[in-house]
Amino acid sequence: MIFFENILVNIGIMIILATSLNLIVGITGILSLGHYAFFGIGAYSSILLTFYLHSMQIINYIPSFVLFFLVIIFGGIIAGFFSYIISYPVLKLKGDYLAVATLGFNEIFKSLMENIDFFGGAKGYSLYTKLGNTEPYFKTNLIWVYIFVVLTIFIIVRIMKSNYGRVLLAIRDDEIASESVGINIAKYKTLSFVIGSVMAGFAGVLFVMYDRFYATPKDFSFLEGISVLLMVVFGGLGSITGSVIGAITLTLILQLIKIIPFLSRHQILFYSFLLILMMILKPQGLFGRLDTTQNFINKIFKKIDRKEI
Amino acid sequence: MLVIEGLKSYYGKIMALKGISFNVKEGEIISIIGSNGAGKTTTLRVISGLLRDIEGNISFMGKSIVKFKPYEIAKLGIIHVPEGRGVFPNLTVYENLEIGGYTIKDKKRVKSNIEKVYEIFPRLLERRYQKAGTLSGGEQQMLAIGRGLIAEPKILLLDEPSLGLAPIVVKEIFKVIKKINREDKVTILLVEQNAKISMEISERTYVLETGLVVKEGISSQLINDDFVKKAYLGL
Repeated sequence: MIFFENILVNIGIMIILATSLNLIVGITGILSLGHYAFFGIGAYSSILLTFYLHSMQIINYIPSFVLFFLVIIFGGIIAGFFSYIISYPVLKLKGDYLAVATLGFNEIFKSLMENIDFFGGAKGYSLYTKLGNTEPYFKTNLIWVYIFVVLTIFIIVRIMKSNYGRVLLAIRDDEIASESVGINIAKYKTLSFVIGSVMAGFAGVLFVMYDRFYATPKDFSFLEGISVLLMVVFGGLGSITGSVIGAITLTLILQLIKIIPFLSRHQILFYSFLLILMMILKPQGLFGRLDTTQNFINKIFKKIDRKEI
Repeated sequence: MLVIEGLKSYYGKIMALKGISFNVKEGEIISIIGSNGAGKTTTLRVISGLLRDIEGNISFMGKSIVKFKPYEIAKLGIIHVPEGRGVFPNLTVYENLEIGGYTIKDKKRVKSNIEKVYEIFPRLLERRYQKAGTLSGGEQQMLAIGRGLIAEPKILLLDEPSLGLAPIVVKEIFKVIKKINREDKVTILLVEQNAKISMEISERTYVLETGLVVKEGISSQLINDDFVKKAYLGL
């Protein structure tokens, strides 16, 4: 049972990461390779906050689920804060340059974590050991993960359907034309970048607080993060359904290849192979622009709207 | 209305505009003609704020707009219809027009403006639920102009509306441009390679050559000018 729960939690976290990356890459057209850094920032900030909450004994006054909710929100806010700061220089760039700069940010994050003792250095920060080999009072479970999965998908779909979403699609289609109709594209790009990063921060908290309780810099390297980009491309840029399906299939496949010794040692080989295959067979991704999730959620909303009238 | 003085523009070290001056009065159609690489598109991009490596002054209704960002310039009512029909290919025709009214807060006004554009270009009404990328070249150009009109521009900057279109479609579009100018009182700055048709509909013409204004004058007189005839009309 634990094994299946592990996989389900894993899938849930990947769905959050993939859909939020899709908001940035697929919908707004910012090719960001640094998504895993925000995942990492969420993870690190949550275990640090948890440690301080423990040492302050605050658990005696506030129920643990409230505390955990605060920890998740905190992780998201910190990730959002850093994404806002780096968005200023990075979003001035376009295309390949932007991709390289975000990749650089991911590596900077990794090396900072490796070299600052406060964060545990290369060994990583183990909350478990810090608390004296006990688990914290609160941790992630399946329900927490899927609450946030639903929340993420819901928010992104609503964004896409709103005026704001249409502006984002316009920016992706043609930046010059968007500027000439009076859209402040810098503002919109920043907003979508920050929203996506906040969600990655949530995912980071959920990831690290699920029976791991430690974070190492290696967990959040670019090479680990490439799998999320693969999920987005696999499912189709701009399609939320695609990202969800992509996250589920690829997480399952990655679980499977861990059994095969050769492939598990050369995961990157497998990624590249799959990506090339996808580009040849179905360059627009499994779902392309088709979006059943979006249609479904909007249908529900239409029904609710009608009842109100 | 729009006054450009000693405008120079740089792409890195290369000087694309070498100090041009011209003005556009309210209600006029002004055409800028010239061959490839004369700096026509650059001129429009500088005015709408897309290029900012410039010297000289641009003022709109008496106010310098050199320091303004593209979206601020659009809010002033200077609407640029980019070259190559910059429509949003993955949005529907209706959504394209709706985005055109981005700067207008009152969404009812946007709706009525869209109705007006449908009257000017009935073809867009037929295709309103179609993705803009699936339209023909002429329809995309109509959509681009229509989208510019939604924002209730004071001045419309049109970049090569005839580019890559069949002569009959070009005629149709220029007829509409003239009509927009006359009936909706929109000032138009038109940049064209097609010298003949743009001089026919405009009041005044500037001839641009490698970043300099080499000739200017009333279009109806310029069209009989020997130099212009030889260089641009092939007569």
